Amino acid sequence: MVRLADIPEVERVHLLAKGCAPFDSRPWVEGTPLSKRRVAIVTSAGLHRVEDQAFSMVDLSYRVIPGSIRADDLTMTHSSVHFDRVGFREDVNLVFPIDRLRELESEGVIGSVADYHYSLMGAGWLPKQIEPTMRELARLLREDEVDAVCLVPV
Amino acid sequence: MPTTGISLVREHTQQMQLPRFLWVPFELGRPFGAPDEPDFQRRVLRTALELLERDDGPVVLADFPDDAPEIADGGDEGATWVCPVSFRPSQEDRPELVTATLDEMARLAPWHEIYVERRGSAAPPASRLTREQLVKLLGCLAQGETSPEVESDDPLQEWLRLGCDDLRTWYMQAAQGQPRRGSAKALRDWFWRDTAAARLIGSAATTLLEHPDRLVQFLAGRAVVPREYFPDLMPDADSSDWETEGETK
Repeated sequence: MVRLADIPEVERVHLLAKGCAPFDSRPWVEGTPLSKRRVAIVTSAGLHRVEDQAFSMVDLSYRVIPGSIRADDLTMTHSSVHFDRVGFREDVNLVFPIDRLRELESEGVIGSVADYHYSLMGAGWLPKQIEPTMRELARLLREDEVDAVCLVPV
Repeated sequence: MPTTGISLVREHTQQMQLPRFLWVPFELGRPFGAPDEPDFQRRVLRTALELLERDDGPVVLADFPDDAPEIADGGDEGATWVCPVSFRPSQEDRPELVTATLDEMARLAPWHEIYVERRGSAAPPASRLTREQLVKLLGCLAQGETSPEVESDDPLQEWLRLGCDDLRTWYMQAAQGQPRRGSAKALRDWFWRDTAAARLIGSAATTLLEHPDRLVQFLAGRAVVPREYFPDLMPDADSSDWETEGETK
């Protein structure tokens, strides 16, 4: 699990019918070796600190997740009938691998972990609609001297 | 900004022609494979990050070679996971469906307590409503109330979508408290096919298809019950009438 062939036909047809047009340009950025990079995570899992405002169904805003966050301090207000929150509740690293990133830093695989990571509400919007938010995040990431971002869906 | 990423639907990522992505053959909701599998998760993350060192762009889509570690459907080979608590969900009598759901939750509660004891803690519900409140609200919606009184500042569509997820999460956690853990698919099938809670959600969603607010109609028809269970839970809903862009997953 899960390849498209493994999911029920009605869901497969639905997924394949989604419009996923290529972007107008194909940016390609190279950089220093991975062992010198400062890495941040940007997730569309609708994660945020428990005390933060929940994401709504169609939400173009973002939430900042401090790199020092404890797993118990995170909640998820993305919802979908196509996945369950049980796995996330058991281990936040299933969708937000912050501990794994810290381990890779300790092993010297990456240079450092960013101070701030970001979360969005997945689905509900088109790429053009979310572009201003992503440009804002790119600015914030640069200010944190991030030079590698791992994009994580849910 | 240099990016790499995880892809859960390979066909979509391929169509979009993106710079660096690692497709993983895992279930939706589990982009790093499985909970409590740090070595496996680290390998997935490292493989995705190593794409940053590729210089053969502008489009790179790599495939992760291994399936996620899977929980077997029970202990015996070939056996199907079955929840040891047996339910006989009512069919159409809506007030009875509320009672059946509350009774069901009472029987599952000890398993949920065991689950919480084992895991250490349970996060508060995302909807900030108790499951008893949610069940009663779903009962009101199923009976045709369009705006039942609720202890929440959120609009109906928000507490409804989060609340239905909260209920489903609670049931699945309770089932995970039992000695024989089920796979995610087994738990999903069990919840949607065998519980009164799922029938209550389906009953409320069916009524909400006629709600005066179009956003609530949209939610009820697309994001409360999975389409594969429509024949049982929402036989009047049309599973083929979907928009192709910009909708909820």
